[in-house]
This record gives sequence, structure tokens and C-alpha cells, in this order.
Amino acid sequence: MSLDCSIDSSVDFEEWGAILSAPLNGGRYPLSATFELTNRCNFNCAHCYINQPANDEAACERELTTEQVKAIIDQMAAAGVLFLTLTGGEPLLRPDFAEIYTYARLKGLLVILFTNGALITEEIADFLNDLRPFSVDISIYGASRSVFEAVTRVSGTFSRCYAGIERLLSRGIPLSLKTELMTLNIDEIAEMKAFADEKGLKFRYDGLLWPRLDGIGEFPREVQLPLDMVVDLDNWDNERHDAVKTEIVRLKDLKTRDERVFSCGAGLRSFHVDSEGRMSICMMVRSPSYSLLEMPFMEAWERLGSLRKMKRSVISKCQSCTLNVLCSHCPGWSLAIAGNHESVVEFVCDHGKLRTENGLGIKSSELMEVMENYE
Amino acid sequence: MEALFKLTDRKIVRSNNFIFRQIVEELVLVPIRQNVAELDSIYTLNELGAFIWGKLESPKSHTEIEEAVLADFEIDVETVRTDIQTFIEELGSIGAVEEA
Repeated sequence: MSLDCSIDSSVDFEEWGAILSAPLNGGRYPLSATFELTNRCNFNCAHCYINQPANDEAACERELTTEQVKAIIDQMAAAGVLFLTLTGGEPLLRPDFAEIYTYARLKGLLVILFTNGALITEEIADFLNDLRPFSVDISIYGASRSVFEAVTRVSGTFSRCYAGIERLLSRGIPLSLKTELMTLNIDEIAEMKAFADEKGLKFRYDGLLWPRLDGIGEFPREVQLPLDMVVDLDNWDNERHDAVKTEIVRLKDLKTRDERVFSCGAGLRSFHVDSEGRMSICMMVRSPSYSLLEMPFMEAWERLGSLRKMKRSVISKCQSCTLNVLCSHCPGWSLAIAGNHESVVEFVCDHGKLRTENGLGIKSSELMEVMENYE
Repeated sequence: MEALFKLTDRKIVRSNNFIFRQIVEELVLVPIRQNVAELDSIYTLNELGAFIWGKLESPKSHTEIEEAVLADFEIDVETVRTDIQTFIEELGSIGAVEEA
């Protein structure tokens, strides 16, 4: 008998990422978490769904304490969580950010940091360089100062964000960029993408803006792009164009329509924890949620599992729709707008129909086949 | 580096560059420091690899590791000697162990 304990069989992170979407013996495993450390932010973006002012004392008092955050991280690590996304609000606003981040890394969690980049000082960049993150994701809101700060509504954010990007780049820290597109910044999409390409960074974007989670304000959002402009991005951007093709081919093999409310991956390998310690099935579906201050992590995880088994109870037009192949509708939208998991949000429905109709021009015959399967 | 770990009377111990974890059914070493050989990889261990890793919590010589393995697993002495040597060298090459 040989020892056969070679460690040649290293698995790179991309393969581990693939595990998140693989069957894994059909079981549910909590491998990936998003953890909002705060709802507060030093930006005041026109489109944001969650932000509270950076100095909001009431919001600050509701946040988990350092020890409570650590206790939750302990439970995540014990449960086998590998990927931990620290987000907000702006997570770097917390004075204990470095302590929390260090704690998570030393527990063997691979940390992804979602940030606006403005608080990445030389000191923070050196700190991240020493105890490296899996990735840093920075949101950019424009390629020029005027556009960027029309979105963030805080002076000085443009130069601080781009300085943060350069600090990470100079240290070779894994970085990707993203943006939310809206009426204020759509004219600079090409420049933002060119900047990312020039730096060799991944760049992703979305054009459907969420309502505020606290229910305040309008929907669709005032700065929401017209839906035909959002859909046209599938034609303008080659990578997006190819992603649509790939998605259509994937759907062709699925054949049947799913009867479950949660037919996505929410709660299968992943979950969300908000700034007050409530655990939910995903970032956009925050009800039901279970307080990790009152309930052991694994019990909350099991309860979320029962949500995944829920079958649709409402016969809606979605069931007979064949134009929803590329639809973005999900229980998160229903919950945000109608307060339940199944109601149709017309705005998102309209986007889905437009996107599918546009998809016919991208990959016509395959898409027709998917639509026939739906019938 | 390799020569260092061939000296069977020298003791080695885990470095603080990696954290050992069980993820689903995999036993893995997760890198945490930037000075490890391959930061973008997670290293999987089998049961015996994990056993040796467990022993290296405190400084051990090659001989002590060998004795521990022989006491717990049915393996012939010659195989153990060679395979432990290879395994320890691999741990050393990725910065997972260091001289105590």
C-alpha cells in the first residue's frame, strides 16, 4: 500500500468556483456567503437599493458588533463555507474592518471584497496585499469625474475610487470592476469598458435597477434606463452577445419548465447575512430570514432549505409565457415590489419579453426550439 | 529547501501560510499568506495526508512522523519512508511546513 498522499492534486480557485454550481451529490452545502457588514456608505448613489448615510448613528447602532460578526464567521467556517463576500453599504467604513477581514482569512475563508474603492488607502492596500483576498470587486460609475459624481452625489469620489484601483493594481491584487448603468452614466459605458480592458480587468454591468429595500422612493427608479436601451446592450457588447448565445444553448437542454418558486441556485450553495445578522436565501430575498443571534447557523440553513422545496401556488402568466426565456424575473423582484414570492412585476416582465425577442435575432433557431419546449 | 527536509533528525512544523479545512467531503489546505508558492490554488489531502498534517501541529522529525504513520496505518516501512519524504518535500515546496 502506498501512502498516496501527494499534494499534486491541487485544485485551482476556478475549479472550486465550478463546484458551487455542480450537483455535489444533489445535496445542499453552505459554500458561499454574502455578508453585509453595514448598510452605511460614504457615497450617496442615485440608484442604490440599500445605502444609509455614513454617519447615521441609528444605522450604526443596529449593526452587529465585532464579536457578533466573529461568532457568525466561526459558525460559517465550521459549516464549511469557503467563499465569503464582504459587502455593504461600504464595508471599509467599519473601523473594525481589518480585524473582521483578518479573522475570516485566518479561519481559511476565501474573501471577496465588494467596495467602492474610495477608502482603499496605501495602508489598506498593503494590508490586503499581506493577507490576500480572493478578489476585490470595485464599482465604477463613470469614466469622467462629472458623470461619476453625478451618480455618487459626493464630491471627490471619482479621484479616490480610481486611486484605490491603482493601489490594488500596483500590488497585483486580484481585481474586477463592475457598474450599474443608468441614465446618468450610459454615455460612458464604452469608456468604462475600455478602461477595464486597458488594465486587463474583468468588467460586468447591469441595467435593471432594484427598488430600495426600505420601500422608500419610486419604482422603476428615476434614473432607470429605458428597457430597449438595456436590451440593446446584448447587441452592442460582444461578450454579452456571446453570453446570451451560451444561455440559450444551456436552456435548450433543460426542456421543462420548473414548478418551484426558487428554480435558481439561491440557498443551494449560497446564502446571505445582513448587517444585523439575519440570514436569508439570497441578497435580494430577505424574507423569511433567521437571526443568527438567536438561532444556530445550521438550523437557519436547514430552514432555508425548506424554502427551496416550495412549489408555485399562483397560476400567473409566467406559466404560459414562451417569451420569458431570457427573463430576469425572480422571487426577489416579487418580494421587493409586491411583498410575496410570486407576483409578476410588470416592469421586469416587459424587460424579459423584450430581451427574448431580441435574442431571436441573436440565435434564432435555438431560441425557437427552447420556446417550443416551453409550450 | 528540499535538502533541508531530507535530514531525518531535523524537526519540521506547520507554517502559518495555510489553514487546514474540511469543505464538503474534501480535506484541503487553504493558502492565506502572499508568500506561498501558489496562492491561487487550494491543495487537497487524502486521509493519510491529513493525518500527517495533524501530527505537524507540533515539531516532528521524519522518523517521528514515520513511526506515527506505521502505528496507525498498515503500510510497509520502505514505502512509508519514500512516500513521507516526497510528501514532506511537497509541503515544503509550497511553504506549508518549515524547520522548527
